[in-house]
Amino acid sequence: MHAELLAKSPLLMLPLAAMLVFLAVWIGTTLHALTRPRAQMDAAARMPLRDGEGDDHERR
Amino acid sequence: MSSEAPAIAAAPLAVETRRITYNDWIARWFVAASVVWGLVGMLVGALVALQLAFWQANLPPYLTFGRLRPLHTNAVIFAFVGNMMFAGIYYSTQRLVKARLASDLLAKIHFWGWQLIIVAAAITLPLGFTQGKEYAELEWPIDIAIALVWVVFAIEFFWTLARRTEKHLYVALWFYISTIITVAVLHIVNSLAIPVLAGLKSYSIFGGAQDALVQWWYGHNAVAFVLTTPILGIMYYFLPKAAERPVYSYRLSVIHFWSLVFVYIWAGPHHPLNTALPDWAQTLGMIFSVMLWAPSWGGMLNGLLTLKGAWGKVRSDPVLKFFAAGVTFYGMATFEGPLLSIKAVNGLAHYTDWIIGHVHAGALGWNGFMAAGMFYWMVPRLYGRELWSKRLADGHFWLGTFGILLYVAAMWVSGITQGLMWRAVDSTGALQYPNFVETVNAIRPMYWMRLVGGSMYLAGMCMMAYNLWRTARAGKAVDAQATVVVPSAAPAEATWVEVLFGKPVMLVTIVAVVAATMAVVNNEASMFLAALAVVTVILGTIALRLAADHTRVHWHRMLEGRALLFTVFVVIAVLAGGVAEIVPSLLATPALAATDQPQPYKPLEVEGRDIYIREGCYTCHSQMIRTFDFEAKRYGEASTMADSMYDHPFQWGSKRTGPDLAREGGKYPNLWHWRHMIDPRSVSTGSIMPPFPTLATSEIDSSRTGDKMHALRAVGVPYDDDDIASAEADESLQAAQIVDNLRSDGVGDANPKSELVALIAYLQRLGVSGQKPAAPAGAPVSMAR
Repeated sequence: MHAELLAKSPLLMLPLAAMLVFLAVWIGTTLHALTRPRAQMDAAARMPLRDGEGDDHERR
Repeated sequence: MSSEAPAIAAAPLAVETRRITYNDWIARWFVAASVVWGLVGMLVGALVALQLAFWQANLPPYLTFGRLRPLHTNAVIFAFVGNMMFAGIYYSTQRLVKARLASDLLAKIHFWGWQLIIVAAAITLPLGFTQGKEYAELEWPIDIAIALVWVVFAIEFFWTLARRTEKHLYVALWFYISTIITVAVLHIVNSLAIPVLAGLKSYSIFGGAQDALVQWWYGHNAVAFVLTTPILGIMYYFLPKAAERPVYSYRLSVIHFWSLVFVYIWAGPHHPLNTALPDWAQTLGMIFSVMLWAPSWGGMLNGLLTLKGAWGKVRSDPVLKFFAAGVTFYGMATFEGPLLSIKAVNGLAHYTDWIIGHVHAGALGWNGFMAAGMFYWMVPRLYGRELWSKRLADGHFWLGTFGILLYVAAMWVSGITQGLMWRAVDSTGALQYPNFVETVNAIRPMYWMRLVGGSMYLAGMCMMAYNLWRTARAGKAVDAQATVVVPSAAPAEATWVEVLFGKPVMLVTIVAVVAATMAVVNNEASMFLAALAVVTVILGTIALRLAADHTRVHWHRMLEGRALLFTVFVVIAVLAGGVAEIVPSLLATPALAATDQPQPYKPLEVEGRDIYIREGCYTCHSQMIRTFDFEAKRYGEASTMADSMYDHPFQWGSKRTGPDLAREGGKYPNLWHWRHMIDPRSVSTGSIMPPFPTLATSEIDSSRTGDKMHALRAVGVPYDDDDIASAEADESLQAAQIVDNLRSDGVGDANPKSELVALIAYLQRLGVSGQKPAAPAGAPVSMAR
């Protein structure tokens, strides 16, 4: 049956392979995020607050 | 990952300042459209809620539950949230990249194109033009229009990024990028269909279990990348603005983003759990859904903790009230979602109203409240004056909150009641509630309670619309200006080679190659390779950390300044899950024994099936008997993949307001179905199904059946030329048999060309071989259901 065919398919290694890639990316991203200089992160976090500096409005 | 990229020259740059005017009219247009369509969509929602509580509110043929429910879902998802998302993205992107939108013309095409698509949906869905796939019901010409307008949106967005004067891409923009890319992929793949010659009708190229996998990959990720990621981007921009403090943890937002986009795409198979879908796909869907808990709550906590120190403002500022409640509802919905994805819990909850409650906690609480908060924040600024009434906004908040709680509580009670009653057995092992209508009557009070809750929420939306309109009327449209600092010459930056071939990318590539090799070696070797991949990940990461040079620009930091490359990595993250999950099931073809080989539908059954899809029967009836004893006792043997392999699209459904129909064929005589469709209560006392009397008088167009079979053959249904050539004759023959049978049971006026006869032919075919007689003749009419 279809289900049995799929269960034996070598293609099922694809999800496992993708999971390992995910694991690699996740560990890397987490380490990256946790070890960045505080000043750099703080500057990025403040970006929405800096976007209005000097704003004024033009009436239409 | 470590800092391994080459250093960037840090020479001082000459700069100049420039005055820019933002394109804010597009944000005003999309806000107005979102509010209007939100009211329409929720009004239709209230109407369909009323139709479930009070069946007389169905007005066949155009305004029945089955036709209006898709209109409701499409309107609130793509019209209300869609327009809201465009407003938020255009408003915040310009300010985050400090550049005006690239093209006013593209913005206009985007706006009017999207509104035309919504109008087309509002016309075609009640008329019965549908593909029969949830949240993807719109027929092929509208699907093409959606793809084109989405491309216009993408060009506008990425062109604006290319013109930015702020190098760094803020995290909100990452979420917008993932939305644009992923929605395009999802929409195109799931909408692949073969149109019927010269008609507004098409058949999905996927069938049966494959279609189920693709559809719920799409359906789940429509929730993820339309209702979640863009709103998270909006949260990361507007919440800090409203709270006047930076996001609590930018580090957490980085982890939140990559984890979410990588994990979300896998979770689709949690919809068809305990079904005929292969176990491996179900298990993957469940595991990744549970994993989603972590990034979802990371984002939720990041949003709420941004309010740390500003909670005093939440008391007085309606904007922050809506944001705080919206993020809280996000946390609640993303706690409940993984919970419902656990197979055992899903066994109780699936097909019940619990799922409806879960969806509405997210849609009304997260999407609706985030939209309200954003509108109350934006509109005063877009019209240069204070909000017309804060008290009215407060009233909206409390009315909406109580409305949601009433709605969700009603659906929890209703859903758990349904789930328990469906599985209840007595001491002999027999079903305690064998008549499905008993389980419907038990929950009818909850349907009224849901209607009250939903109506309260709708009343709150009306208050918001009035408040925003008064604010706009009292003010005047204003476009914000800003002074931006632009380097006179382009600064030195990392090349694409440095980003694309950075050491972190190389490490992931090595792991990917090792992992991919597992697919072509034997079991023992693949176990070794899996271990090798894990060790490589750990040791490689440690090595990169130890070799880090903090004087150089970090790889991810470079990536955050390169919009195109960033997009490429998002595409890879999103596609990794989609490809790995879907490709195996698409490439593997069924190998059935000759005796298991199902027969394709006969011509009249094809017509009947199209009527079933047109009337939206799948919105209330499933065609998938799950692998539980109590389901087998009620409906028959569990469904197999072969049962639906020629179903384009599949009709497994996601809700049982009525009973499952997978093995409906032969259960009742033709007369029962005839009377049931014209007046359901004449054979099923207490039923809440709408009547379909017009089906007995409206006729099928037999001249098009051959075209339909041609299209079905193109998607893999094994019709030969003779089948197609004799379609009209076969159709007449089968219809005559059914009409003769009806006549012998006392229905003298049945029209063999009527849609009802075709629908009966289809219903009598469900779950039985195509070679068997279509209907039992002369059996007594049973009142039991």
